[in-house]
Amino acid sequence: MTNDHHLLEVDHLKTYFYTFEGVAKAVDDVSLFMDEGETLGLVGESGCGKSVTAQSIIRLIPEPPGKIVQGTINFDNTNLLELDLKQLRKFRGNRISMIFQEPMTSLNPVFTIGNQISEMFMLHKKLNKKESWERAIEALKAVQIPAPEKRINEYPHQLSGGMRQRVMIAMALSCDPEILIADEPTTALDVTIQAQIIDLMMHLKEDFNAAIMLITHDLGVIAEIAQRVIVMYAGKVVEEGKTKDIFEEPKHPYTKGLLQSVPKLGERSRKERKKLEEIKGIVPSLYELTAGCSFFPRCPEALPICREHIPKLTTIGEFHKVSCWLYSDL
Amino acid sequence: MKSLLTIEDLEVHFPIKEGLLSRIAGYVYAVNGVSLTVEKGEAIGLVGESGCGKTTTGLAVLRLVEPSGGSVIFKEKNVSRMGKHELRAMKKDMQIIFQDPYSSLNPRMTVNQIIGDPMDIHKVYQGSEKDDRIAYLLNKVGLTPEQGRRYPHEFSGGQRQRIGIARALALDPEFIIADEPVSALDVSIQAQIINLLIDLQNDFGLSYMIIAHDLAVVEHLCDRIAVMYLGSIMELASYKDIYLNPLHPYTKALLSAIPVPDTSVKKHRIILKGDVPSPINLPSGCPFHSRCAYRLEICDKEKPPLRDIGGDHYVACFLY
Repeated sequence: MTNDHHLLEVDHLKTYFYTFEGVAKAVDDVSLFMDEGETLGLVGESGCGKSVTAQSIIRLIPEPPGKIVQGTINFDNTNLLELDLKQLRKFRGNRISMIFQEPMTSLNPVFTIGNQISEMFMLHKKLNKKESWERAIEALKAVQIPAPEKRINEYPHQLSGGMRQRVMIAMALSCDPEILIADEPTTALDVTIQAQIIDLMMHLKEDFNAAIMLITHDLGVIAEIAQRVIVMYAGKVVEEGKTKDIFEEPKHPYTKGLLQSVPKLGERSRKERKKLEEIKGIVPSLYELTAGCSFFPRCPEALPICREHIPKLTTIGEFHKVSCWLYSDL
Repeated sequence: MKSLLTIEDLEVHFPIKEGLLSRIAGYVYAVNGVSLTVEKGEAIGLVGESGCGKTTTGLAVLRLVEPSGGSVIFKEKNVSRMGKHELRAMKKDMQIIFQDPYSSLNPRMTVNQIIGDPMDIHKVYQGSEKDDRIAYLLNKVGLTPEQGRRYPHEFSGGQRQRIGIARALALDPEFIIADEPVSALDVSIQAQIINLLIDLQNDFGLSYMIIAHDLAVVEHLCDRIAVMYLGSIMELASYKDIYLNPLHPYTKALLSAIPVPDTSVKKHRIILKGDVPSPINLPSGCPFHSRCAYRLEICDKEKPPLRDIGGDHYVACFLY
């Protein structure tokens, strides 16, 4: 094994959706990697392709209308895109698992949470019913659900939003995955509950030594827990780097705009009210992307070349890459 | 000088009906004794987590839900006792902007009709005056008069919120309640709407009640902030005091729980245990006592009153 061997490597991934209105290039030539035990943040606004990227990795793209048209996803010397469903099950839920934004709709309402968690052990670890049930109680204990022996017989509707998300995490971590993909895990929750869940995820990450891919639009959550950040816009990676570099020395005009457009807690109280920097215009429709850089119509620093040619992701520092003509030559 | 709006001991309880005869089985205690004033030209913020009663408070002020108790005095008139006609006349001066710009605009009406409708109902700005007024408002909120002939579905979320704001401004109100005005919008669009709200406040001398769960947005927009929990105000103070000198244990926990998009800020996070209790079975005493780390013996027996501890900083907590 060489040094540049990554736990997960996504290479030139393209996931398109074929609909009546045309082809939506939801993920358009995205490459990324994850290392063992790291927390990678995937950030962007709605429609930027961050969730579709994650769903492509565990092959949850509904086909049709969606289709992965190009690319490879390498995990443990296997290209996940070449596996059939049976082989895929060895990975999905077992070595790579996922938690979703809405814990109400991602749990089955007609089964108890005990049924749903113990199923994981029966399927992936081939344990019998009794052992699985005991492991399920342990899993609930690990996510700090009080009275797990009692709670395990409850149905999802009997639990609060935060509790449901804990159950989702218990399920996702039940098989000691190497990668946990968390798609907006706290967006549906209140801030004090969000703090509980983030705190829990960070503790469990250390216990389980799983790498976490955290997908969110909340820059605050990313700044607090991610080690590395990938910023996406209209299906493409526009910037990636260490969290500190992205937040302190953002390079891409979109990243800069995004960071300056959010009011920061306490800033007005400590200093004074500054007018927020706006990113003018709107997020482009994925059906009508321009020939050049998709951020060109909204970019305050656009060059003539940006209209015609798509910039390549260029390395500008250690782990720091940016896709912008301001930082690269033709 | 009299306040523009005075809310006193406002209570809203929703009955839970059961069975064939709709027997009342209990109540959801959404708002429990909220008192608040809004001065002319002031922006006041109501913050709290879901279910804390902030939206219900806003709706009860406008009588979009009927209060169960207490009074709302707007421009020296008691809103809670108004008849239908009086209430309608009052709404000329008090308007609301909703959270969801998708469901709050009628899809079968053009933007001109949406903004012109309140003028027709109240019989102000008629004929060519109305067209001029609509064009003026569209300009004010950053749209063009040509866009007035289009339907809501032709606009993006941010533009729709602008239309909702233009509609609220149609009758030249003094006071606007904005219920989560930016939370349905993308991050890069939120700044546009926040800036617009501030510009409009300066241009028209508006007073705002901003209802939001995002404390950073509220800090940016509001002069004074009320922190709510389970239908009661826990702390009420200027934005500076809330952020630099929070006193109530809940305010402290809430502020510490918010992730800040700045890697240079290191902070101590207070993790609250458990969930918000149900508003159907309110806890005895202080609504926050079951999750409070500083609770005293008295806290589960008596509800602490909201008291001024000096400098217009109000706290409902026995620690002070």
